Amino acid sequence: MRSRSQTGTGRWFDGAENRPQEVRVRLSRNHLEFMPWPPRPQAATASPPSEAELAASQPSLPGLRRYARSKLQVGEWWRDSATPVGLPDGGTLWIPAGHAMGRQLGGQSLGAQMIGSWVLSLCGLILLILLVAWFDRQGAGLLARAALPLVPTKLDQAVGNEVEEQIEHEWLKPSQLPERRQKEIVDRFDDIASRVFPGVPLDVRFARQGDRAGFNAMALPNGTIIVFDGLAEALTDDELMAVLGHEAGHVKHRHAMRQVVQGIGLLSVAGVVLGDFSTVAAGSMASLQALRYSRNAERESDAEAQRLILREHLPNETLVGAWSKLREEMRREGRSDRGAEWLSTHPPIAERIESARQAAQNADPVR
Amino acid sequence: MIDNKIELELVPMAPAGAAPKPPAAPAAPGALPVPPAAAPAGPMATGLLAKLHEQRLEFTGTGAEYFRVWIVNTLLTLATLGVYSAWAKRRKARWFARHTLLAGDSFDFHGDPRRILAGRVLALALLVCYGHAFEWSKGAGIAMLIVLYACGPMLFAGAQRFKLGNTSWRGVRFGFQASAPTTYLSCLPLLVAWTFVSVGAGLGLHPVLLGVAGLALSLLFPLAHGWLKRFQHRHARYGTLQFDFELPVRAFYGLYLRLIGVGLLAGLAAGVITAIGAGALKAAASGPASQLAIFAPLATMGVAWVIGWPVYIARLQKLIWDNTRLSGGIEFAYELPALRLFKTLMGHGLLTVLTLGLYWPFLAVRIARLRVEGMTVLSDEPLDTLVVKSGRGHGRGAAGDGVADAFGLDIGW
Repeated sequence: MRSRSQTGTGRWFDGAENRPQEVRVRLSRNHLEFMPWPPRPQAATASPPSEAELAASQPSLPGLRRYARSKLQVGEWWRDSATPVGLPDGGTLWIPAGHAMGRQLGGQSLGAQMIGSWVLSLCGLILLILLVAWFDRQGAGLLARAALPLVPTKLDQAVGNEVEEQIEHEWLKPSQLPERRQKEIVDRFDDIASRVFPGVPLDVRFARQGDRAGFNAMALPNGTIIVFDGLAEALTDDELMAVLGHEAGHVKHRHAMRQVVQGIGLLSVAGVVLGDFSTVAAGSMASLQALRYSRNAERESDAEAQRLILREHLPNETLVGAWSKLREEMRREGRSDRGAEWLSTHPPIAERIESARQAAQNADPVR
Repeated sequence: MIDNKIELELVPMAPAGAAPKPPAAPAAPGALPVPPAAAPAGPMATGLLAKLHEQRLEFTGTGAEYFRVWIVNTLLTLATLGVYSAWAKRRKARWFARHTLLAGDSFDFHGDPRRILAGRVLALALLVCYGHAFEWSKGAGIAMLIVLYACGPMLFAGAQRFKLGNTSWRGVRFGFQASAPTTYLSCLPLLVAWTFVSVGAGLGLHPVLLGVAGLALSLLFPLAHGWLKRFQHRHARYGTLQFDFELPVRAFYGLYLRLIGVGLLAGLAAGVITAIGAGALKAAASGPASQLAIFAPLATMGVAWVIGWPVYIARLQKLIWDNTRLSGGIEFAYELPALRLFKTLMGHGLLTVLTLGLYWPFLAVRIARLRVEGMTVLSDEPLDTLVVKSGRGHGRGAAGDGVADAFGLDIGW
């Protein structure tokens, strides 16, 4: 045991005042000991002793100090910097950089060992990259899937009602579609929904978008689906059913709430990785990712529309027809359908048509 | 070369800073009640002599080591779903403190991670509540605002107390202590600003009224900023030594005027640069205009920030430290070469972007070195013989005032 003890010099502060004191330190297996060294300040200078020297000349140190190692609060050991050792009496002993005692006292934790070694920290970096990549591919989805059931559906209702009231005031105008036609569509969809989306609360309404008819439909988290007149007039009944199926998919999968949950997850991951660098960078990374998840949600809803078509024996190409009309409308309005995909909430329309076409071809021809 | 220049400037600068009273200071409207303890003590009166001893702060950390610290912190934080972030923050604070040296001895940071964690949970809760209170109802929003008014200033002071009370040099801790009235009074201008910006817009006040309020606020902002800095520096201490700060109101306005000038120039330069960049992009990729519309303002802001931030930070720090002193005849001089900071940001910032942020720890260390080494401590006697007693009795109890009360939490991210 004796042979394992180490000695060296250190710098001690008693915690009551900031006067440094050089000490000789000995570290044995269970104890840390030190005593002032040199024992007395040398009054070798010719000048009269300063106040500090006078104070130091009084033997304020009772000599040897001994502490149990288990009582010490040792700071993490880092190469090239002194290691502080917090003493139970409030003092601090600094082990100089480069001395083995510092590493022995403060270099044993996992963090210190990883920081002390390039190999370990590069392994850490690879793990970190894998972790971020995994979170991006699967983790966020898993998180949302795990957390979503914890979010009460009442909240979806409440948020949806709130939004509905707001947009009704601010930019919805009453529909000009004949009552009879409205009822026809609603009745047919209610009938279909009872089979395709059992248990999902859905309520189809019609409206105009300000002074324009509006070629669009939207789903709110409370199950309200708003169909704009422009869309209702342009699409055939079958196509309308498919688009309503798409919107019902948003409600069924609680996409709005999922986006909130995923958004929180994304922001926190980006905040951890990039937050130290810049919150703006973290925020924009997170919103780019959120857009990608939004496009995936649209794809998921397109699949729901496809399921409705299959289940209700509508013509296979119904969704292709609906999306083609949407594309024509977009072109007419001069909206580019070739914008940057990664900046859009929806997948490119060409891709959506293509996947609808493929789904139509893969559908069982006999049925 | 830069070092020499600073040495030359320091000598005439010190007496100017210690001159009896700058004419602007007494004119500070609504000056805060000054605790009698902060009244100038004996050594401060020796204003006509330059300080004999200069001690430059030194930063010894390397980017290579901080890179590894950063990896460990980030990895463990992600793997523990964020819980480790408090421990990560302590490690980061300790790493920077322990690599900052004054007269050969390093600083240290002692913050308890559990309190950092508590502070973060509290901050998150407040943030979420504040963000959504007005969505729930107007009553809830106003209730939340009252909670913020009541707790905000105390939390701010508590964070100061946590930060300083847990920082030490040569075994003696810094500290922060301010009475509740002083705390509330110092935060008042910013609280008023906050109210007008958020609530005024939220409740839908008349735009003209909002505009007038906004103008008044922006005219008062430099003063409010100065008040806050005075609050932070006047109530800080090192052991038994009290810091003091004389608010140079005129200089604060000068700083912001200059900042506006630099901002305009930077905005102009940034506009030209992005216009050229956009032209090149358009020629190369014929991308749609909507994309450019998104990127142009972002790029302009980025370039303006890179040009404006170094100037701002350099001037602000100089302004603050030149007017700060510590009883016992200690003064400070701060010289941060804005040009070097700008060059570092440009060169190494580019590397950071090119490496998708992996170079960031290296850049952080370079910025920290510039900022730390800009500071010089001036004193009448050498720091080695200047004995400072710990503020509160002996030993670990010194941390007590920072930890005992409920508000001594670390807020900030």
